[in-house]
Amino acid sequence: MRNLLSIKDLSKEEIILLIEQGFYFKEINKRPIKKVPTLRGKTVVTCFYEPSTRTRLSFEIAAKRLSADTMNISKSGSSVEKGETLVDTVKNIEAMSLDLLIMRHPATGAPHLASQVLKCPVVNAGDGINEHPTQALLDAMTIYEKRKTLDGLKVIIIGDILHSRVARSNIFLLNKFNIDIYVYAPPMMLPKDIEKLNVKVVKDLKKEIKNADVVMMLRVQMERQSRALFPSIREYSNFYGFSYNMLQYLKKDAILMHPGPINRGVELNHFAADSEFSVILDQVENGVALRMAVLYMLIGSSKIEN
Amino acid sequence: MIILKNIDILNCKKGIEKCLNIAIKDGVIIDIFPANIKKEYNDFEIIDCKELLAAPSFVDIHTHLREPGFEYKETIQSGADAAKAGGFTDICCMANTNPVCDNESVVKYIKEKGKSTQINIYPIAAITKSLKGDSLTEFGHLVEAGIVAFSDDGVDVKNSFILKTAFEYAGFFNIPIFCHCEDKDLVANGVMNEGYFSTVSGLRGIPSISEEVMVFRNIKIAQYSNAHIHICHVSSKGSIEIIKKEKQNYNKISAETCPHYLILTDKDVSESNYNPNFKMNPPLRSESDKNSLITAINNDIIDCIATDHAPHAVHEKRKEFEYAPFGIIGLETAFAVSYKLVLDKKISLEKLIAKLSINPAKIVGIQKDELVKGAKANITILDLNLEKVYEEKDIVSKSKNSPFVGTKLKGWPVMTICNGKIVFKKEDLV
Repeated sequence: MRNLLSIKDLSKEEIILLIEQGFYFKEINKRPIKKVPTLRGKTVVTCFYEPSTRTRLSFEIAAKRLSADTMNISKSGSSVEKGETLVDTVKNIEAMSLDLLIMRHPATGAPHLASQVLKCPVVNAGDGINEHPTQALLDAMTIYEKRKTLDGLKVIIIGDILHSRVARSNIFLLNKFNIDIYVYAPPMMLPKDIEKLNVKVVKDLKKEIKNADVVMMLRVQMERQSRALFPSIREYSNFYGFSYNMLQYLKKDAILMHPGPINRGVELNHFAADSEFSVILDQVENGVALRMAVLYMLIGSSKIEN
Repeated sequence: MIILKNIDILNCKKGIEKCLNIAIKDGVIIDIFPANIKKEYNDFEIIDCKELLAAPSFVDIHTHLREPGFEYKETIQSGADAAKAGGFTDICCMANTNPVCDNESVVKYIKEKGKSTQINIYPIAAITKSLKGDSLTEFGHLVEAGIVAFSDDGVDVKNSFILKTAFEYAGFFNIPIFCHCEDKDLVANGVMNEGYFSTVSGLRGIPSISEEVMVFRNIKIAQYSNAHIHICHVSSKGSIEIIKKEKQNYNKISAETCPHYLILTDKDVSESNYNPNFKMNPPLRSESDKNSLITAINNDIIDCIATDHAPHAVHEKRKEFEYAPFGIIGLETAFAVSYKLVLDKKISLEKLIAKLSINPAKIVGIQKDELVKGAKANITILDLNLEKVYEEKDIVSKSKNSPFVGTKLKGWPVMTICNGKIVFKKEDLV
């Protein structure tokens, strides 16, 4: 593994390895002293061209717990606002002896472009409507944690699939396992030919949700919709949101996921978000551990010290 | 005064005749005779063209020369040099310069600059002032200044009433209107063909209906106005079906496609790792669209191949795929790329040459003949056995934005003769 740009580049074995490694790091996160010297002396830069709280913090905590030095660059207040090109920006950062770049960008393929001009590894922390590989990995880790397996499950993804990099990365990942993937969305929020990705489009949610093992809710991404694709929030919430009433249809051992941040009352009802089915905060917790695993896999040279 | 010795000559209708000598004097082919016959042509420069093929020189009716205004991408001279290297002696340049070619002075400027290029440059004027789609340019004055077509290429004329007016008026002058068929609302902010591969690549899609609805609208308006419509860069199967059907009722329709649409597909975009040199408008479509275009070349639904040569500077293209401008260069590779279809036995060489020379010339009213005695000496000489990797360092155009960089292609122009003068010759040719 040289970069983490797309789930498509990972084998099933690599995914399992990352998840296993993630569980190992999760244990470190529970210690009173949450730090190992694995990446001591390494410089990790997060380059976020889009707003983010969770992902950025998660990567930064992950790097710090491994003793790497971390720096942040964001769009505002940087040379990006002065018109510097992406290639120039990342090459300048690299000139300051960089070991790993973590990038979030509103344009699809931006981390790929960065990786083409950099010698150091690049981690895609979300590019446009394309992919968010670490989110899919931490989701898989969470599913595995709760259900002890990935194979043989039924997963339903609900929401704006078209604009969701989380959905895309998850679909690519889940497809590497023996998993039945279903999507439920307003038709104008479904990408063209999605069925060719081995995904079934749900018509009757109540029927399909009864035997679902995992329900993944997606955030309605107001900022990525060039035009209003939906008549109103009210209608979206009533037809595609996960309401309190829906909880009754879930299997006892089903889990309810959301990549955050939640639009409470839009795609996820308050009661559902905080119900016993919800593993949303587990996802966040696992996110740090999984990202530690990713960093370790990419630039960890020495053995992990206990 | 030149003798092209031992050359094969392609006639688009009759096929290839082998081993002839062509004598050129004062810009005219004065004699063609079998190479084994000795004739006295003293003081003629003799060029041995054994194993080479002479064809009527190429005509590109869809070039962006970028001058005036964007000289850092291409100038009239650098674009002409690229054209020569691609075997073109006549190119028609689109109006989207700065200032826009919407008045006589810009037409005159381009023609004046064109004179020193050694090839023929024909300006195309804008349909509407500043390409804004609001009001017509002065068609009469522009025709007098020497334009060969009207086009707002880059955008469609959104207002159907304005377009109807344009067709009615252009019909009066017997000048074609070149339509860039695109419903921008359907394109939204798409950057590649909408389908399985846009979904896999996570890039916003451009549905083929955005082209097709406008192909239909524009043909209907042209027909109603009894004017000549030329459809630019046809890329989709749906457009072909519409053009095929409408051509049965109305004969003033012509259509072009570009070499890249015949060779590449959206799968190539998907596999390019977000390389903006695979980004153009219309986008590379699906395999079935591509096959439909090849069939349309064969049954003459598509009349000609044009390059849509659209230079963009390296710094403009070396960007995030979504942010990079649309367009690729194509003059230098037009033949080699299209010739792949001949090698794959999908079209005949005669057909290909006709679509690159005689057919496009007819659309804009440029005199263009087969290579016969008495014809103008506008000749493209091809080496069909020459196989080489197209490398960035070999590109003549000022811009380097080609998806074919690094691709091995067979069959290249090696000499271009315009008005009896050799305007391009590959170095190792003696």
